[in-house]
Amino acid sequence: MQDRLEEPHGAGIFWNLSAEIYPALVEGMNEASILAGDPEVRSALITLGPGNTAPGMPLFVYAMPAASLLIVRLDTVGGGAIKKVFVRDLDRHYPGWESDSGPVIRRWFPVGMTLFGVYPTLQADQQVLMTTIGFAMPNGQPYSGSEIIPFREEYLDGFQEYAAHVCRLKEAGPDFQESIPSLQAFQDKMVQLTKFAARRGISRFTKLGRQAQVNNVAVK
Amino acid sequence: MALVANDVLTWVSQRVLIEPVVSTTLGTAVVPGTATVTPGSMAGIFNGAMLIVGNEVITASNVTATTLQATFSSSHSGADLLYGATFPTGQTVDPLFSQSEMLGYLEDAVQDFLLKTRPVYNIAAAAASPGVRAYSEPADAIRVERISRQDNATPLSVTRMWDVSVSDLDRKSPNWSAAQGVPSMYFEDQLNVGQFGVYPLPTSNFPLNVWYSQRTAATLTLLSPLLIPDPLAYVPYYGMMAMVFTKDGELRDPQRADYCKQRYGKGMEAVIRLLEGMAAGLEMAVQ
Repeated sequence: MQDRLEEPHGAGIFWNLSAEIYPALVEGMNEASILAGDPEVRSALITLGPGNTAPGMPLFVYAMPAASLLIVRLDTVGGGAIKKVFVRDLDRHYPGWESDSGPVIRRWFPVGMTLFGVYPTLQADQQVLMTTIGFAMPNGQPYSGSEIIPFREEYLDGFQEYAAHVCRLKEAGPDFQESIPSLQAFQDKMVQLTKFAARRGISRFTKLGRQAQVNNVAVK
Repeated sequence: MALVANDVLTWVSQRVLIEPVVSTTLGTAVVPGTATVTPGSMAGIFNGAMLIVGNEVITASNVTATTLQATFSSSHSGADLLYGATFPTGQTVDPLFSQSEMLGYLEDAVQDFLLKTRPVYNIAAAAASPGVRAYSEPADAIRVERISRQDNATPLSVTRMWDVSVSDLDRKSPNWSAAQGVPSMYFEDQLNVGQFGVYPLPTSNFPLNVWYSQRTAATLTLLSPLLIPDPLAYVPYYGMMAMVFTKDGELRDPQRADYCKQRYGKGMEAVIRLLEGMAAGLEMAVQ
């Protein structure tokens, strides 16, 4: 990465390694997360119950697990998937659904990117397995450089292209303009990897099993 | 670790504007009150600079070559970190940028991002009172998405209220405004800004749960959380940079402003695509 910027290896001269280059690489990873829906993270057992709902919320609402962007699926410990619904669907079918309670989760629903809910309200703790799209770097800055990159090998060159481009934003002028092809190379790679992601997991970017019309979108 | 406003200001300082940031130690132990401290380094510190120590933001005054004075609300040891993106170039006589200006740009960018993507929801308690038609939406609401009503003292006896318009009520009954009973519908039109109304007029108290898409605080401080998940923070960062480069001043740069504006737009498109594709809203189509 520093070679691309004509920087000597180490702390950096014009580009600070920890303050600029590492964050630029992470920014590329974050963009990859949004475009390709990676990395998927399968959790260890999570306990949901009446005692750990999101503070100040109705008793069927929980906070997203730390360092999770979106929930992909919820499974029971026995292996059965818990079906995903939407709040509007519950409202249409049963306006009083919020009053129901029970021992096991029958449905789960998203509430944006920071909350999710279950139906019915749990009367006791239940353990579930959760698959999410995780944060590329859960711990935030400053980065030491020894963090493990949670992406497959084919992403790595794209991150270097992306970081080489955004680092040169501060150069401005023709020097910055000359780095635009690097961004385009990154975006082309993300188009390909988005297709691979959809091929790997057919339920990715679909709505309850139906293929969403966004999988093969061209990233401009 | 959730990002705060100072993190984004630090990105702007270090990665684009090549401005120094303050990153030192407090140097002197303090107790609540006004105190003079001797930080490890005075680089980037000037009169009026806002700095973070512990969990509070202080404002430097009576700055000398080695000391600054500030009012502290908590105790801190001399080894506590003192840091912040202060944009010191030209301060205090002819600054290129001020911290409050940058916080304003960031707030504008984050609010715009939240408005257009609506990735964050909240649920607030409210109460319908006897004889009261209109109620205030939560102060941080972009839009009320759903309201449910608690029917009696049992916590779990809750029923959703139907989202209607005043026109729907007019068609239902010309005398709808006189009806009283258990509120079963709510509307948001033909009212003052930031209000919702209920129908029929409540005859007793009813706790309400107001589900809404959330925006960030009206005024950001250095320690204000960004509300959006950390991996998305780079999108409003580019929106903020577009404003920075369009400011009429020495750093005016139409080329980089246009680039940042495009990155901001493309970033929002990608986030909307992700939210729609993963169906993260309250219904199938997020937008």
